[in-house]
Amino acid sequence: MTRDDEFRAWTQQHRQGLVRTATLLTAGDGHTAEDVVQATLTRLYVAWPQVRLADDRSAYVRRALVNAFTDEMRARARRREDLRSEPPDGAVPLGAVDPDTLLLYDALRELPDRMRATVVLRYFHDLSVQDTARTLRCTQGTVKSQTARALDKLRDRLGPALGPPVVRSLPADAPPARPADRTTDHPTDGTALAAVPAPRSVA
Amino acid sequence: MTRDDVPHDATALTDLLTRAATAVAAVPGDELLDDDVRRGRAARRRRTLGRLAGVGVVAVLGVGLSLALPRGTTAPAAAVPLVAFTGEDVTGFELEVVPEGWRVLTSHAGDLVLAAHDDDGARPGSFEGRIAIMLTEEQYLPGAPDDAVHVTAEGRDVLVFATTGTSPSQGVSVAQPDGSYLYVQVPAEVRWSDQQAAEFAVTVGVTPEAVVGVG
Repeated sequence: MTRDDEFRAWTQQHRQGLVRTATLLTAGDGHTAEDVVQATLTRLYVAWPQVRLADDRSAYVRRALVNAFTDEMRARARRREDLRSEPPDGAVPLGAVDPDTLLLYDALRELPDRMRATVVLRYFHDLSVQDTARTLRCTQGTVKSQTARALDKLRDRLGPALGPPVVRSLPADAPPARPADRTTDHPTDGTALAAVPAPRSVA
Repeated sequence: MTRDDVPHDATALTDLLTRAATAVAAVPGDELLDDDVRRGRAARRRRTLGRLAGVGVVAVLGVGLSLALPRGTTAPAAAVPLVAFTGEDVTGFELEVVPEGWRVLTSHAGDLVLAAHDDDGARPGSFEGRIAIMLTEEQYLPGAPDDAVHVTAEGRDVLVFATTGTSPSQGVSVAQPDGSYLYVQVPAEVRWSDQQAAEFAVTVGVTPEAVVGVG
């Protein structure tokens, strides 16, 4: 099997998961999410021998995705500085989306990029503080403080969408929730980025 | 901390994120996957050619060098420059670049042979005047003489030495992560320095299908 064959087969299996994570990272901006995923996949292709040999392929791919996201957001910030008249990104080209999701994207959009990434890694990918710090290449203390500040902002913005009772004293290093009614978890092997439930109807 | 201790809003946030992600239907079609592969290949080729341009091994710099010679100076026989490989994928190995005017003569999971454009392909089992690429174990590497040199190419330690045989050639070995060695035999016809031979060798990829030779 050639690199192309291997890469194509892997991408077919995991691309949707990457797009979903990127969509959360970009607060529902589907176009930017696709750009981030394309950049990630290009880097993975170039580094395929390392991807193939990675002890934890899932962690490798997550880092590549977060790095591509960070680079993309920096590039967009620079472009906005150069072209002040350019309309801001942030549209949600997702078709019919439930109101809670729109509210979530609005709230996520108000977080700084790195803080948003912390939330996605901790509460969507169920990563520990340690693994989140490794992925973001920062200290565990930074992850804890970013998480705490993000949760405060999200509580203020989302209010009832997070559901009663509101717990003000949520510790930033509390483990991500693993509710029993979730249809799947995020495994630690190479499938993690694709491991969200099958799409529900968005019609 | 048990599940019961997980704060309610953390649970609700995870649910919100999961619902939002699940609403993103992005199953890739063939065309999208083809585009992903195409972008990857293009980026890989750009990266390789950019790196080789930095060490003066690609065609465009070879031309620049000859133009820079003073008028009346006889240029030494120039090294055959490398160009992007545009042929079909080969078995067991990955080629990014080849010497200009060279082609794949034979391709098997155990070895890959490149030949110049004027090579008629006679004696396909012979490596004379051709570039031979194979995966082997350390014990089967041709004995490296004392004057073998260690060259660093793309951050990797590469051993280059003159082979003993009927035709002069360079032997180049690159250690692989699994303990095997990529061995590349380069004929004198390409007139590569040790550094150039090493730079070429590290561009050759090894796929899981490559078979380790035993002699």
